[in-house]
Amino acid sequence: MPVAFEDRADAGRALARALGAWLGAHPGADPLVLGMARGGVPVARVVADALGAPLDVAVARKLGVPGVEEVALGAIAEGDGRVVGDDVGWYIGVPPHVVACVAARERAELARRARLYRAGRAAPDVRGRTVALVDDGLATGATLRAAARALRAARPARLVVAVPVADATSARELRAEVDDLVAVVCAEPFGTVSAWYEAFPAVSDAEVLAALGLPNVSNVPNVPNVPDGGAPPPAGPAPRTVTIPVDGGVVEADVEAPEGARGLAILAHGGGSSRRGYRNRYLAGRLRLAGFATLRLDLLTAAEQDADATTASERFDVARIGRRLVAACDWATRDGLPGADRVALVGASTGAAAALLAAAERPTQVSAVVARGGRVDLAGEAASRVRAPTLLVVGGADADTLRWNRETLRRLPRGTRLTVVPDAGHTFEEPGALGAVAEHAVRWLERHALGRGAVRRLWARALA
Amino acid sequence: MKRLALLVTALLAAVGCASPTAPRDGAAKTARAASARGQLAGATQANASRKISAN
Repeated sequence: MPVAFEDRADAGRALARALGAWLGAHPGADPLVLGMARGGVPVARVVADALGAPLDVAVARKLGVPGVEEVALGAIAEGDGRVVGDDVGWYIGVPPHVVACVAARERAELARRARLYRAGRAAPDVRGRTVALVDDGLATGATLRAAARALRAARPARLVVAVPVADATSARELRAEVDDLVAVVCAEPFGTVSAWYEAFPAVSDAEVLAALGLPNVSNVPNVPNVPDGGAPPPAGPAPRTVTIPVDGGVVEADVEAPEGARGLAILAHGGGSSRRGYRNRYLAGRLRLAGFATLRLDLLTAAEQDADATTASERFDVARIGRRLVAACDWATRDGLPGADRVALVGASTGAAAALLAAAERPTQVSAVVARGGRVDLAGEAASRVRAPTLLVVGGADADTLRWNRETLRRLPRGTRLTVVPDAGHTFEEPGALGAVAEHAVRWLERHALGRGAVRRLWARALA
Repeated sequence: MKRLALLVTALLAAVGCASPTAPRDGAAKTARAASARGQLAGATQANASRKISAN
């Protein structure tokens, strides 16, 4: 993919030429240039100067997928209460109440930016004007679509989106919602916006204010921007990566403990994956919204991961990965993680077998188990020693796993539930399948790992 | 419980918090699922190459 522009200023000069040509074909237009904060504002500054047009700002915000915040599930814009959805949110199956929760969190930041960039001024009156809405690139288009819809409600005479680079499909879709779309480069496959720039640094609040000709306000809390399709950073403390001593070396884990977390969920990935897989991350993000701290660990050491990549054999040593989950439970206690005395285990495939082994080994500490497409049959006799309420979630199209789960169900404690996600396969890659798993897991764990914990633990101790 | 969930969903949709738009036809659905998978796979790769300080 060729680099098209040196930087945003270079892109602004090229875009000004293209937009100038468009204005030449539409005489009488008296354009108002609106730069999309933050990355679009430096581009818009150059465009506005070249065209001799006034410049203002449009404020919109990406909504990050819970746990995978760098990927957007939609966007919101100033002056519009609606959420514009994106493909990823639909694909995962993020339900409306979760979207609403993410949107509510981001509206505060949206309002902060709008206040800062307007410096007490009202939003520009666009009624009856030709508005050129400028950004530094168009990838999925969710943010631009949100801003365009909000602007459209304010009734400009014409609304034109202008970008230096655009994904061809997204451009076609957005063009249907505005009066026109001007792009210097329109490509498919597109990749990322940053790939079209030689230099594509994050744009700060101070740079936006300077481009708008506003004085910099000292002590402005500057939330770092994520360039190029990135969503805002997650709320709460940043994740920390820790090492947990295990037999054979150490394994790495990501720990995220939001303020006020009421429980702890430890997530065990499936064979061939790692703690960094997006399914693992989404489930963890969704559980954090429900009030859990999360710990995602690699079940194999680095050397074992390398060996497994070629032999695919290490992942099936469920006794070993079960011991690693036990080590993670013990580490959580030593570290003083919130809820470490009533851990919920969420395992996928062979990781689910490990979760049952760990639940059998730590009957008073493990409060509940969720097995996602679990190879629970590999837990062997340990299944009959599990005391924690267990939810088995299996894809309806995953026939073998479904059969193994039904067989193992008989050995698991009374109250164990088997839930089938219709038409889903082993890894829940079908649209909506992962979201369904997450909601089943959250409901189960809210009931069994967050509530009635004291009674359950006493009961487990009595049985142990 | 199910009715309550449906009611909440309807209310959220009414105030503009509808779930992300679903594509209408099969071909679009396949293309969009592939695009979404690509974004998530890209995020996984980028995340895997990121090193965070230990402990």
